[in-house]
Amino acid sequence: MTKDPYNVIVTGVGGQGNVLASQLIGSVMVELGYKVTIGETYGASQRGGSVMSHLRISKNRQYGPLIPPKCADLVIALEPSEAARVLGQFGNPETIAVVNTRPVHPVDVISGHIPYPPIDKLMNRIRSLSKKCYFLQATEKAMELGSPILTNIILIGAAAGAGLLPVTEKKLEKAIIDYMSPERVEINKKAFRLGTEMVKDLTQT
Amino acid sequence: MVRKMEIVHGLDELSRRVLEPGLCAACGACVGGCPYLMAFRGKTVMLDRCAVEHGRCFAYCPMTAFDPEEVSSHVFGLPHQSGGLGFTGTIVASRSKDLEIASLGQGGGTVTALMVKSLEDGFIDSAVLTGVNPKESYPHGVVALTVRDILACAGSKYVGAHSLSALREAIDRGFQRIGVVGLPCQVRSIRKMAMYDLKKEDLKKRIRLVLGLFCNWAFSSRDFISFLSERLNVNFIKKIHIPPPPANSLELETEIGFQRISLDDLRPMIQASCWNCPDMTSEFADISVGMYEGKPGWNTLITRTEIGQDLVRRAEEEGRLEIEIFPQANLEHLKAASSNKMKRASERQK
Amino acid sequence: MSIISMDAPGKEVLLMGNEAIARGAIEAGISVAAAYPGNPSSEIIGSLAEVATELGIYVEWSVNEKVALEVAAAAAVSGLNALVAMKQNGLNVASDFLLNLNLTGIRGGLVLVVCDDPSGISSTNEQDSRIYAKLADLPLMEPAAFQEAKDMVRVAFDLSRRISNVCMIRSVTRISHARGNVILGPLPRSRAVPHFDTSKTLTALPASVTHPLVHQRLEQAREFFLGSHFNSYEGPGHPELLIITCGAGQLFAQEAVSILGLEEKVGILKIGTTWPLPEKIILEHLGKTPRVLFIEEVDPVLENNVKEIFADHNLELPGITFLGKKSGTLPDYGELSPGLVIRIISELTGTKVPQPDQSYLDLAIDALENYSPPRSLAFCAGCPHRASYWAIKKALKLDGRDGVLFGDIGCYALAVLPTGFKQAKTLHAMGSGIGMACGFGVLDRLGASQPAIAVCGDSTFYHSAVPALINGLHQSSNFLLIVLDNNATAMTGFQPHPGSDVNALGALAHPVVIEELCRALGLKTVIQDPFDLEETCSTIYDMLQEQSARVLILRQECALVRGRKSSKRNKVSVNPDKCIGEDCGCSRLCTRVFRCPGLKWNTALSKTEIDEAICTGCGVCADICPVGAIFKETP
Repeated sequence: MTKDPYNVIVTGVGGQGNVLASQLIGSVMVELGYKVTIGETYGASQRGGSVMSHLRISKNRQYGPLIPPKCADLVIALEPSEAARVLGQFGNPETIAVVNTRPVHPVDVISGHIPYPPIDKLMNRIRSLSKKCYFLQATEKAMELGSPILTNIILIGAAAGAGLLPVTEKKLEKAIIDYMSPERVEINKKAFRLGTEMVKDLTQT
Repeated sequence: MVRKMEIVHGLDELSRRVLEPGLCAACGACVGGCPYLMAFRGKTVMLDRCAVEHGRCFAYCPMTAFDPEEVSSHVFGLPHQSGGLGFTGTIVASRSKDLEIASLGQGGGTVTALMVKSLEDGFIDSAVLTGVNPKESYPHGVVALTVRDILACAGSKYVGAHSLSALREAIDRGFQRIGVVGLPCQVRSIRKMAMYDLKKEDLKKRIRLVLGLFCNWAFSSRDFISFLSERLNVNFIKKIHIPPPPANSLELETEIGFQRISLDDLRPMIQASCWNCPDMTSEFADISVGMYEGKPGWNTLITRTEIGQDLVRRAEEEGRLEIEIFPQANLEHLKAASSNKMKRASERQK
Repeated sequence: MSIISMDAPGKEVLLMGNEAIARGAIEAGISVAAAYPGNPSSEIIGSLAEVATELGIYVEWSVNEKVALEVAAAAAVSGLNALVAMKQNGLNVASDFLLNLNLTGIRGGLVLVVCDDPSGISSTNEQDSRIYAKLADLPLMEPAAFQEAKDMVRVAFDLSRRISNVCMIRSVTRISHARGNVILGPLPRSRAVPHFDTSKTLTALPASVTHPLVHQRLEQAREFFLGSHFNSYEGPGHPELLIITCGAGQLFAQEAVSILGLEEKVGILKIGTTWPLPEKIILEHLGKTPRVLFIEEVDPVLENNVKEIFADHNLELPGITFLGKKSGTLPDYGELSPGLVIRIISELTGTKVPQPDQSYLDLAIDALENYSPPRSLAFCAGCPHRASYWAIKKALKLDGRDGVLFGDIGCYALAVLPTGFKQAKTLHAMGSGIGMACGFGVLDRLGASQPAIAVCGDSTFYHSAVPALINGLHQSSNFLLIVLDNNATAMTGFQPHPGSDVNALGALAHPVVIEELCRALGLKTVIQDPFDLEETCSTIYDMLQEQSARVLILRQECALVRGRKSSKRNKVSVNPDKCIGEDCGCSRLCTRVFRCPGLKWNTALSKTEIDEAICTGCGVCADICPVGAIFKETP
């Protein structure tokens, strides 16, 4: 990781485990000796709203909890339209994106008030706003493993596997024990591993 | 002002034109088969907004738009006769020869007799009528499938009872030869249903017999029931009758005796929509039946279509109905009364 | 095992601002902590509750913030260190007691942490609570980052004991809910035993004695703050622009100056002891610059207080242009953001903000306008409130008298939005729904013809609904109180409340049963399951026809709580052959009007489908489908 601060955004919809994902990454980075700041929105966001976690990772300083506009280096998106939203505000031509392709429809789309963008066009827009992007069907894989909530760990694995985060299975294990519980370790390690494999299988786009 | 019927809107426009100004006749055409409209204790309540742009509620409502020329052409194949009674075939006096029917029915029990015959003959497989469920106390639509069911609905109710919701029920239950008894507004609605048939339910064929009643006005059932409830248990009412002028009263035959109420007390309860209605004799029905003023125990019977004429002829031939000549003087009187309603409505439109 | 109770001095960990505050309190040796949940403050007492038994401290979720402060004060006047935490609205509730406690002082240590919510992201209002410090003559500190949040709490307890008075700390969402590096300190080895000295009285009377006394104590605090390392300067000796900032503003300002490359031209004076202000360091830097920019969250509090100092010393100082909220340089509402701070500094200094080229910017705008549909707030799938409001909506329409629903605070406050069918017509503070309803319920004497309904949640009921209920009963007001009892303080994270059978410590508690309380007051109280839509609607309608104060409890478990314990209630599916979707007779009642996120509209097939990943199986949609196309099966 050469850039300092390294700015990562983990984004998704309330309830997808976005906050936990950023906590896990953050605690691994602190163990590695970095100064990490994570900024989030809670509370009402849980009820179907967009959730963003901003991670500032630096060897030198404690940075503010929000990334300035156009300054994201890595975007990990648990939902594709959230990827577009985040890249629209915080992306720049060097940003790399790791994106879960399964849409979560906002209630306004479900109720027929607004359309959800066509997925192929959405993916193209995401491509156009990033230097490289990795699209994964993480939710489907997570459900195969037993629960959609594992999507976030799969994506962390993918980011790690693509060399975008210095997180390893071993370091993640410790973080899982600290922030979740020992019983959750095995299934989360499995999910992480799956993510690293999935990204290697992908032709980079 | 005659509104053209080509343009069909949705619930928003129905609400604007009819519900909000209080012009709903409580015919019941819109409340069946729709989650946004509900008949509740006599009132049509709109529960939510609907996004359908061309809806049955608007199309079938007799109050949104009604062009007598278009409808007359559809029903009779002829231009609208505005001579006071609409297009008529025969006009006679009638009564049921069956004594039980005659006593249960209004006037001579003609309506009940014709519906019973039609069902027994298999001419219809179901009858949409207006009845009163002792648990409800409000009159409401009924899908009658047996003679007993029909007899239970005999007698005039004098209120807007949302009866056509039972027509929707009959259609949804798959009946193919439906007979309906309705007020002039309901008859208009039924004809619009057959003309538009927005969901292609073969309504023109399936609504086989439309029997219309004479009507000068109807009470709001909520106001009327509320008023009566203060005086007696409405479940005790056996029959309601409004004798011809100059009586100016409404008569109740009840389990606990006879009561008379001044129409002056009841006039405030007349539905606002009735003042806009020009149709006294259900001009677009197959058969229209009303009271015979001056001859209690008899009805005035008008046949209009072939179906109507055939049914009445067979009923007479088979000894169900007794038919007599309807005197000219009475006919003139009827035409005058009908014209008055028409004038009353056109004055209102100005 | 919790990080905040870890005995590992010197270890560097990642903590949330609220956790850092909790850890600071632990290191300072608190014995008691109390709060009522409120975003963004809930995790302070929440994390203390998790380690309370382990550390031998008492932690309580109190019924409301005033009582929480009183509970903490009881400990503080008995020689202990106590912590109380609340959101901005909570401070309003606690303020009457606070404005008496400041005059009596305490005999131990009491730190009051108030967490403001700039932009009102999780609140009904936006408010700057720092003025309470000036109003109450109490010292106030504002942490700018996480280590400081912990350190300030320790210093606050020290100060509080020295001046025998409450010490305040003000945090904001961006500090409280953000996480950062914190180095743990040592844990205390002993704890005081509480004892109240009955030889002396604690009273705010007479003002002629206590008011000057509180000023003296504040003076002591001012001296204590002299030379505090929480106030610091970085930048050139004579900056062309001096930024005076506090709290979250510091990190934003630092990064902006760095991005714009203005380290040689712009200085940043960061104030941590916001009240009373450290005059010396402020005067020193005011004397070296022609322009001052104030960067702070919500109101121009620091701005106005510094200007007061300037006014007092104006003869000794050169002319200065003050820029901030008053001058319109910063907006006078809404939270700070890096983008805002960068833009303002770039405009003031004529420095260009580094940006990607226009073609990228155009694509970014396109992404925001066309590829990111807005996500409005909605009740969770299976939420009983959706069913409750559906029944209320129908009952009000059938009633036909244009009834008024007065809303209140909690998840169910979302009834002002389409997710709750916009049923709530007012939304103010905790308990104000029933307060206003009992007020509206007497207006029939003046000719009002609309029935009054109030909604409140179970937690809100205990917090502040009871006085209004008593008032309504006593005044013979006509209103229907509907208590939406999902047995949870859901919006803030499921903390226990007086209806729960466990407390903050996880020990058995004595539940106060809502219907018993209402019936003891003599109120007609009916209980109903909102998932039984028809019965609920019918009950609401019937109760609307009644007079006097009456209560309907709609009791059904919160979907999130249930989801953690049990599997789906039913398997719900749509029969596509029966679904008529957009056609007349349905018009997408389930997805367009009911709007449950467990349902999705398949545009290609024009049919509704169930989203298996989100549906919780409550089956309410099956009950409302007009054609019976949705069915539920018990698993």
